[in-house]
This record gives sequence, C-alpha cells and structure tokens, in this order.
Amino acid sequence: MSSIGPDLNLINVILSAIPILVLIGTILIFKWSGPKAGAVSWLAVVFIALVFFGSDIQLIALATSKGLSLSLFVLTIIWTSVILYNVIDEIGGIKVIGLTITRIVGDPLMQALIVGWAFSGFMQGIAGFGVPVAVVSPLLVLMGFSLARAASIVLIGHAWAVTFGSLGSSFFTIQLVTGIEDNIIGPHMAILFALPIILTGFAVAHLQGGIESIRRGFTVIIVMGFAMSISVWILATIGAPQIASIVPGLVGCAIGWILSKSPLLNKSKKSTKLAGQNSDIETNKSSTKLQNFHFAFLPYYLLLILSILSQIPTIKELSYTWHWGLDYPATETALGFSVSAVENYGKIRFLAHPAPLIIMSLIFTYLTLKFSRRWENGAMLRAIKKTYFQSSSTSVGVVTMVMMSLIMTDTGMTHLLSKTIADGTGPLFGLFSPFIGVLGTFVTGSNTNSNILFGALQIETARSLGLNTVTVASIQSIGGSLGSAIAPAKVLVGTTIVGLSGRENEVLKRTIPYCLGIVFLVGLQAWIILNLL
Amino acid sequence: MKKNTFRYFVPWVIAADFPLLYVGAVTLEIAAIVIAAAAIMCVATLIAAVVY
Repeated sequence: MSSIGPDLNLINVILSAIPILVLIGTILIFKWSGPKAGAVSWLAVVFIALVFFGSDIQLIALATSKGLSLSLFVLTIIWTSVILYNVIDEIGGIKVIGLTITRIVGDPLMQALIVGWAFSGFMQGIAGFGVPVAVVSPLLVLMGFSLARAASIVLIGHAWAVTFGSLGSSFFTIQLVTGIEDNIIGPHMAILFALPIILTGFAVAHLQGGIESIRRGFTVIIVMGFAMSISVWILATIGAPQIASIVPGLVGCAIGWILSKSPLLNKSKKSTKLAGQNSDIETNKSSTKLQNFHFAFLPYYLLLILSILSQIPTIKELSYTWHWGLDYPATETALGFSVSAVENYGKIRFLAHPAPLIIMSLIFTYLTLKFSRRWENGAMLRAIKKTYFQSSSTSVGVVTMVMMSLIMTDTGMTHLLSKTIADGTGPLFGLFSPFIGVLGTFVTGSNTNSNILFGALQIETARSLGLNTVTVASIQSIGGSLGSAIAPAKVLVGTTIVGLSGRENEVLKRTIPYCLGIVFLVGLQAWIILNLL
Repeated sequence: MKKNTFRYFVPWVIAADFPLLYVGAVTLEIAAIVIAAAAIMCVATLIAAVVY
C-alpha cells in the first residue's frame, strides 16, 4: 500500500470519517437496522470516493468485488453455523444441551460465566467468525436470559478469545504483517491479554446481575481469569497459539464448574434468579428422540476433532493447495494512493475453512443419528429454510459493510484515519493504539482484517515514535479482538440468531460501554509499559 | 410489490452482480459491463436502504 495519497488535512479526515459516522450514527441514533445503515454507508463512501478521493468506477467496482469476496468468506461460516444450530434445534438438541448445562450449573451468574465467558471462548477457538455468538447466545436464551442480555453477554464474553481463536488466524496475521517471530510476539501478547481476559469476566458478571454479581463472583472471576490467562501464556510460549483459545476456554469451563460447587462463590442475598433470568426450562421436558447430551453435542465434538485434524501437517499442506480465491489487479487513485495486486483474495481453503468443517460435522452427525434412529425426518430441510429467512438480512448487512470498508481501504480513507489517530496522539499513542485495532474490527467485522489493515501501520508509527514494536503489535491485535464485541457484523449475527433482528441498537448500547472501558484500560496498560517500564 | 418481497430480492441481486463486477473489471476489462454492474449494485443498495 502506498503512503502517497490524499493530503492529510482536516477536510479529508472528516470526509474519511463520514462513512463510519453514518454507519454508527444511523444504527445508534436513528435505530436503523444493520443492512439499512450498511447500504447507506456504502452509497456515502462511493460518493465520497468518486468526488473527493480520485476514484473511478473501475476502482469502485474492484473494491466492491473484493468486499464481496471477503463477505463470501465470512458469510459461508455464518450460513453453515446457523444451519448447524437450526438442525440441532430441530432435532431437540439445543434444548438438551441447555437443560444439561442448567442442571449442572444452576446459578445464573455461573451460567453466564461458564457459558457466556469460558465456553464462548472455546467456541471462538474452534470456529470463530461469529460462530460463538450464533451458537452460545441461544443457549443463554434457553437458560432464561433475556434476548438482548444473552447476545450482549456472549459478544463481550467471547472477545478475549478472538486473536487466538479460529485456530489462531488473527494471531498469525499480525505476526505475518509485522514480521515479528511468533515465539517473540506470542508470549508477550499472552501476558498483555491477562487484563482483558479478567475484565471481560467482570463485564459478563455485571451484564448478568450488576454490582451484586461482581460482589458474589469476585473471587471466582479472578481464579477463572488467572487460570485462563496462564493457559493462554503456556500455549503461546510452547508454540501452540492455534489452540490458545480452545484449551483456556475448556480450562475456564472446568474451573468454573468446580468453583460453582465451592464456598468461593458468595451466596446471593436474594433469589438465585437475578436480573434477566426468567427461566422455565426446568419444567419443560424434551419430547424429541434426542435425550442424550453427548448425542446433542455430537456436532461440536466432531467440529473440534475436525479442527484438530485440519492442523495435521499433511492435511494442512493439502489445504494450501486445495482452495478457492479470486485474483485482483493493483489499483491507484488519481491522488496517487496505490494498492498492490493480490492473489487468491478471501481465500477459502476447503480443508481448513470453518464452513467445510461445519458441513462435514453436520454430515457425520446426520449419519450417526440416522443409524441410531435419533434423526427426525425433514429436520435438515426445515433448518435450511429457517436459515435462509434468518440470514438474508444479516447477509445484506455484512456485505454492504465489508464493501464499504474495502472502498475506504483502497481509496486511502482508512490509511488517512489511522494516520491521523497515530500522529495526533504522539506520546499518548499507546493509550490510543488499541482503539485503532477496535476501529479495524468495527468496520470489517474481523480481527484478522483489522490486523491486515492496521498492523503494519501501527508498527510503522511505533518505530517513528521509538516505541516497543512487539507491545504495539500485540495491542493492535488485542484491540481488534475486543472490537468484536461491538462490530456490527457480529452484533447482526447475535441479534439474528436470538430473534432481535432490526434491534441491534439494544445490544450495541449494552456492549459499547464495556468494550470501550476495557479497551481504555488495555491502552493505559500499554502506555505504562511503553513509556514507564 | 410488498416490502418483504424486495427484502428477499436484494440479496439475490447482489449475489448475481458479484460475477458481473469481477468479470467486467478483472477478466474482460470492459467499461460498459463495469458501469452496468456498478449501477445494479447502486440500485440494490438503494432498495436495501428503503426496505430494511
């Protein structure tokens, strides 16, 4: 990407910010739905790019097409994960899973911590790309949490696991774009992740039952948080960052379950049913053929096995050759901002991409349940139909937002915005650095894309300011990870799956204060490390 | 036509426009196809802005 481009002046910065402001403003103030806000933002960015940033129709078409390529990568995961969820729901599995977890852990605070914080981190580790939000939010609803509360808890709760999630895709991206060895950045980033891991736990508790839940769960959150943080650090240090969300997620679940039986969890002064909890799940007996938890959980066991199998060197090598992606030529605006040609953009590796893995686990689940006479005829067709109606609005939202962000990137708007933030902050750069990561995830819906967009730029700025590049690279990815809690593309997944379509603002209003608060503290931590230590 | 009909129509138009955009801009490099594909995308997003 060229550093030549639009002049860094106030008007250009304001113009660059308009598409993002339109997106945020229309969602938060006018309470527009994601697809509507995304569509208007795309139209706004096209107008600004053509009139003020020296673009032509050819460049707009290429950037839009790139956006569609990237959307396809993300949407195939959303579609397949929603089908998977709907299939399990149709055969009664989701009810069985929810019922089992509710029986094992009866306390609503522990349900929020174990399912919304630790288990969603585990799901992020194995699948990512919005799957935890799509899968775990309905579980919390099933346990009796209100729709907006369930989606908010998972959005905040899974945010600690995004960088090392999806089998480490975002981590490897930041490592690649910055050129820092994984054995150097991995342990360093893991140490910096301890704070957000613990803080997301407190945020989940607060979302569940306010200050009372923080008081009750204080020791439990600290113990679970430390155990998860240490697991992340150990795995990053021994060279296994690809499972540095999976294992800590499971560790968190196990420790949470043990602690829920211990006196460390303070007894509630009131009833165990706290705010947002109105469960009648215990009274409902499943009337389906699927009564066994392990059969209900089978698709997720298979997904875990397939994800681990996909890491076997021979399969991994094969996956690099068996893929689909489009090649794009280099572009340059009339103002001189150039973007290099790229091969296999939005590459879908058939043996490593989550969508094929989800489909394979679905096929194996179908065969197993069919032969054990637990399958319900017509379940697959009903699930596919349901998914189509659930996902069409989400798909338009994701597509329009990603197309918008790609036009911003290819015309130099994103570059200008991040440069303004970096230059304007000076010695306070460490404090603002994670917010750049958040911005990237907010506009693209992906920690990986945020790292692609801003990783190199953050390093460049850190070098010019004489700051530790490893810390800045880590903070970029941590900011991007936490930004997942407020990225409209992910919020849309959560609201769609729990039945809150068109009411994204209800969820965003809950998640934004927690996310920005945690990111601020992460920034403060980075500033202290960069300037005082 | 009802709003809902347009809602389910928009994603299909965007999906159909994807190959047109790519072929016009990358494979064939024909300005007329690029302009037509961009115009279709503008219409689809305008409809999306109204119906969603």
